[in-house]
Amino acid sequence: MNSRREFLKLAMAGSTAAVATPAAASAQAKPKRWGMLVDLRKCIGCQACTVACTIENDVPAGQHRTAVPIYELDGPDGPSQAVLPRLCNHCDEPPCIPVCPVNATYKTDEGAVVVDAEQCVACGYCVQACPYEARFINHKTGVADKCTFCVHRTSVGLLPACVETCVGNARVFGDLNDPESEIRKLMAEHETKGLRPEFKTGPNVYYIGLDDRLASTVAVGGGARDLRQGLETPAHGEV
Amino acid sequence: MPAVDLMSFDHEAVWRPWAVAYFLLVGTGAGAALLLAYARLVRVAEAKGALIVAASFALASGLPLLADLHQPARFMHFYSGSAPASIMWWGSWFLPLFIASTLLLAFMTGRRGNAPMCGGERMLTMSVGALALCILGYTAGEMSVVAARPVWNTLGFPIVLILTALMSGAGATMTIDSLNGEKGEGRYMLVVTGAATLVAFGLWMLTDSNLSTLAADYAPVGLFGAFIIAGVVVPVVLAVSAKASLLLRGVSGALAVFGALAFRWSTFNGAQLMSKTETAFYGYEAALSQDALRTLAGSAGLLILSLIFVTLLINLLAVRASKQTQA
Repeated sequence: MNSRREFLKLAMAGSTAAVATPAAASAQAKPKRWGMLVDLRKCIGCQACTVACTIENDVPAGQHRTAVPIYELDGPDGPSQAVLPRLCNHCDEPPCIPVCPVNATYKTDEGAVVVDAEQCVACGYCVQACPYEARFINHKTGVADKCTFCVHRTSVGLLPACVETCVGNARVFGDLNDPESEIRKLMAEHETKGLRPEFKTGPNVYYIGLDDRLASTVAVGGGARDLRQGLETPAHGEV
Repeated sequence: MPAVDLMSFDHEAVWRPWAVAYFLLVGTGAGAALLLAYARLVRVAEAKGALIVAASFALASGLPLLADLHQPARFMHFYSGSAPASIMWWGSWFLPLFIASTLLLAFMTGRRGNAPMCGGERMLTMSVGALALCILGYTAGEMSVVAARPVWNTLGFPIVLILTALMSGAGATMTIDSLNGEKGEGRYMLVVTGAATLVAFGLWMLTDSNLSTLAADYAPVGLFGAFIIAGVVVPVVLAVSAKASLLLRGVSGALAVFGALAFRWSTFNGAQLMSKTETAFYGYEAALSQDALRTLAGSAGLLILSLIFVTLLINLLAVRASKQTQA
């Protein structure tokens, strides 16, 4: 069973139950807490999630709600490729929320961190505060923008666009409060890690197979950025 | 051994050079306001130059701040609710109060002419000094609490930011006083805050690897040449040796303002171009530089207009008060 099928089945079952016995359903329902698990063993760095998110959320060119940086890491058997899908971590203690001077950014009941685009003054303070560089000022809308876990899709029982499109099923989305959800089962079966633990933000995006060298500030050099910036690129052996 | 980025993504600086202009103008205004409060309440001096600088720099600071908001027409949202956890929200109250109080003080000073300061004006002067402290506290606090920006999230950054604001306030006052043909106030304050800036910046540089990385890899000319040499050492030396020369006082003061600008330019832009997730600098420096001319020209024009307005306000009211006294 993959994450999409399970999510749809659960969503359909949930809505059926709610229609049949709304009082009983609401009495038994636990509040959902959305989370995402990225299985790096399955991610091939194809950027399908990046493109799907951009199209789904009309993100301007050059800006991203999610993206997949690709690195070459040295290992005991020589260099190997590592991918790191990045997105908003929808933290339990999001540093972007308390800094907002107009209360435009907040957590939904399901734990997604979202922005009220009508209230946002686009001061950029939340962009500064996010240690994951998950926020930006949208060039089209002129307000703070970020991953919302596709709240417009999940609120009607659909998966986030990046999860829906992932060809390797590397992204798993679900309810962290539900011990029977696929995400919880996978987290029970595998060691998972979050990004930037030093900030103590309580991220709700987890990774299977995350190299420790990628968990915090990634030491990089001699790669694509240097080429873009026209910097002198050392020979590979000197990197 | 570092990783090689095969595919990487850059993020642009969200606080544009307008933010540099705002922090320079409001910091200079607050520095001059503290000099004004000290001169009037402790030394019983008029300190007209400090008043002109405090009021005109405060008045000019509002527009660059609005310009740096990407939704400036929504500025009223700051006042339609409360967000006490956000230092920026507190600043949104301090700033208009500071601007209004300095302008009111300029009005009261002009209206009394050569008459002695009344109790109300003394109270207002104290309020201006208190609000200047609030401005310095909020601007330094707002940035230094951002843990995701390690260059700002240090003890050194807010200290140097405040010291350079005081130095710039004293320097701008010396320049205005020199243009008015007066020795005026600020020389001692410039020397003390300049020397303190050298010590604080030196200690910060020695103890913070993020700052030394920024200084070595991004802004060696800006931080060491423009800020430390031209913006602190030279003005302090000139101020020490310029007991009688108005020209040297004026040049010293102008260089101190330049030093505060250079510090803000280097640390604001440099910190934002430092990746939060990788040990790299983003390639958006050219975009910031393109904004720089527009920002500097706009802010300078606005400042000149504010200086003219405040000077005329004080002087015309003083002439009117003088005529009324003679009549």
